[in-house]
Amino acid sequence: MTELAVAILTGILFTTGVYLLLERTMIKFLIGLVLLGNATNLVVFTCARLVRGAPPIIPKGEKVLQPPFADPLGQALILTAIVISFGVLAFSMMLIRRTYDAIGSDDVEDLIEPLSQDPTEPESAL
Amino acid sequence: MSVIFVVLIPLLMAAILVSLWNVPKGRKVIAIIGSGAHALAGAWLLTTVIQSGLVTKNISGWIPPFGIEFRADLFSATLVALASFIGLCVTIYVHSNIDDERTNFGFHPLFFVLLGGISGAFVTADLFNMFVWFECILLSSFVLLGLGGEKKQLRGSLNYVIPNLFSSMLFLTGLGLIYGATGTLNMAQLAERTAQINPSTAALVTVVFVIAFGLKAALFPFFSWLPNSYHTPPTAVAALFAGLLTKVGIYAIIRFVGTIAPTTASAVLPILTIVCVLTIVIGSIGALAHTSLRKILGYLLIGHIAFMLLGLIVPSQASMAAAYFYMLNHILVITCLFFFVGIIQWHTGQIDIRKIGGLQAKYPALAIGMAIPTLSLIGIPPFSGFWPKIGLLQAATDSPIFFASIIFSSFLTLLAMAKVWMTIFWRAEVTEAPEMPPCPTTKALPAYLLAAVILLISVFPAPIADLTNRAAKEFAPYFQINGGDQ
Repeated sequence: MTELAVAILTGILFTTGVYLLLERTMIKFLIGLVLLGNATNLVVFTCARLVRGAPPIIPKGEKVLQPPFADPLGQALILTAIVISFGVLAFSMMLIRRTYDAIGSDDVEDLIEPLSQDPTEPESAL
Repeated sequence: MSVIFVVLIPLLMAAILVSLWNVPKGRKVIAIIGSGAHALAGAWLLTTVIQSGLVTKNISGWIPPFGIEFRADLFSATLVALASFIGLCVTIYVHSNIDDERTNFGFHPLFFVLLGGISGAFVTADLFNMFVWFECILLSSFVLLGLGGEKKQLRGSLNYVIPNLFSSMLFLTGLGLIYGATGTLNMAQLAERTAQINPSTAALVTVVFVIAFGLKAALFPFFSWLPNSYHTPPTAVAALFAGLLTKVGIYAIIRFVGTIAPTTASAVLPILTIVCVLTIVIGSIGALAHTSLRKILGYLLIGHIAFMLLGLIVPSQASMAAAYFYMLNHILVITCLFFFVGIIQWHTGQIDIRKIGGLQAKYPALAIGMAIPTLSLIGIPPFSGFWPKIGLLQAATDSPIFFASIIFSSFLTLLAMAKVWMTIFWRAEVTEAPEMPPCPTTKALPAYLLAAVILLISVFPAPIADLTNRAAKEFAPYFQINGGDQ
């Protein structure tokens, strides 16, 4: 049952996340990114089985872990993924802030350079 | 020596250069020494793998599948060696080609993290570890692209960041699904288990991964971020990105479909064929529409990237070998072309072909140098691009639509490059170019060095063809499962 509930939740998060990514406002894009990141982490979490109150510790005298237990590796993977997405999010926030400062708009449409770019503008020699 | 050195050296260099944050003197020289060490490690890896066939290393002594394994077969070792060589060329090129503002804000450490990430992605034998290397590549490339904070750079960065972040999320989702289905992330173990799981689950996972990697490789319909971002950073960065980054995506697709999930290939191959053909056609047409040298090269890069998947689409050793040869050659050629564009930019201060002219009369050496990668890119015999292309055409006879698109793309590449050549080299000078000091040696050296390497491959293609043939043999199970001739 829990799996089904989490699956539906993940679906909702994915849908909302993708919807927000397709928005024209950059802030909404940022929120979409957060939702998508959480949805992805939930997928990994669910795939490693959802078991409550059964830490993956091998009891004394036993050789192997007896099910049901939740796979700890999946949770370790999420931990890595959370750290990475935290860094990515911080960077994206700064990038959007800087872009907003530079082009004075948070509309993604304004990111596209005009096609008839003035060719007289010299390139830097880099 | 061990296989981890190709990853450790760049990461160590990044750490050293971060600690030299406030010591601007000698940074560039240290970077060149570090890159040289990395190139040596890459060359060592390649020669060892050529002799022994396989080099592996279990990190911290944990045996796979419990620990992370680094594993260099010929397919990855050659790419690592080439990547480290390109890295060395770019570090030399950067010496005179990057301003103090950028070096002060950590250009060099980021560059080495990127190089370490690329090497790591090539040699890792663990799918989650590959994700981590992808993130390394991604984050450092984000910053390298935006470093400097010019208006157009910020625009380009966002165009690059948004799709690539989405691709990472898809990658991670695919990881979760495949781990849930098979209970492992070690590539060798995955290869055994993907054949046993529910075929529709396996197909779903494969599609998720192919989309995630396809986005990084700039396949249709996920390519528009590439030409919108690759023309904005300094040439050295653009050359590195164009030469290596999309190829990491291609490598990941080949590794995933070819090694990890060969049994599910039949589910994605029909779609992949259409995607590749459309990528080839649209990329080549796009190149004709633009006048900025870097955008033209960016679109040509898209147009050519899909050739490298022919080894999967036509499952035979010959096609895989040809596609791999093409990939190796393309890394050299496109990096070299970007270097030459940088030199043109130095001389004229422009990259728009409408504003450049009369270069042949003024800089004959430049014309001779740039002719080599240009002719090789088009595939004019006997230049190095011709040899893999003829292999591709021979292999593609089984897939008529692919055959046609290769021919089509070759003609459009010829047309686009002929237009560029006639405009910037052969016609009279259009504007009074600013008086610039002669091009610094460190800027010219890597460009001509790469041109010389391309010329060498043109004259002696046999060793490379041999190498790619052996590398393609590593995918023998894939060809067997999918009904190829080997």
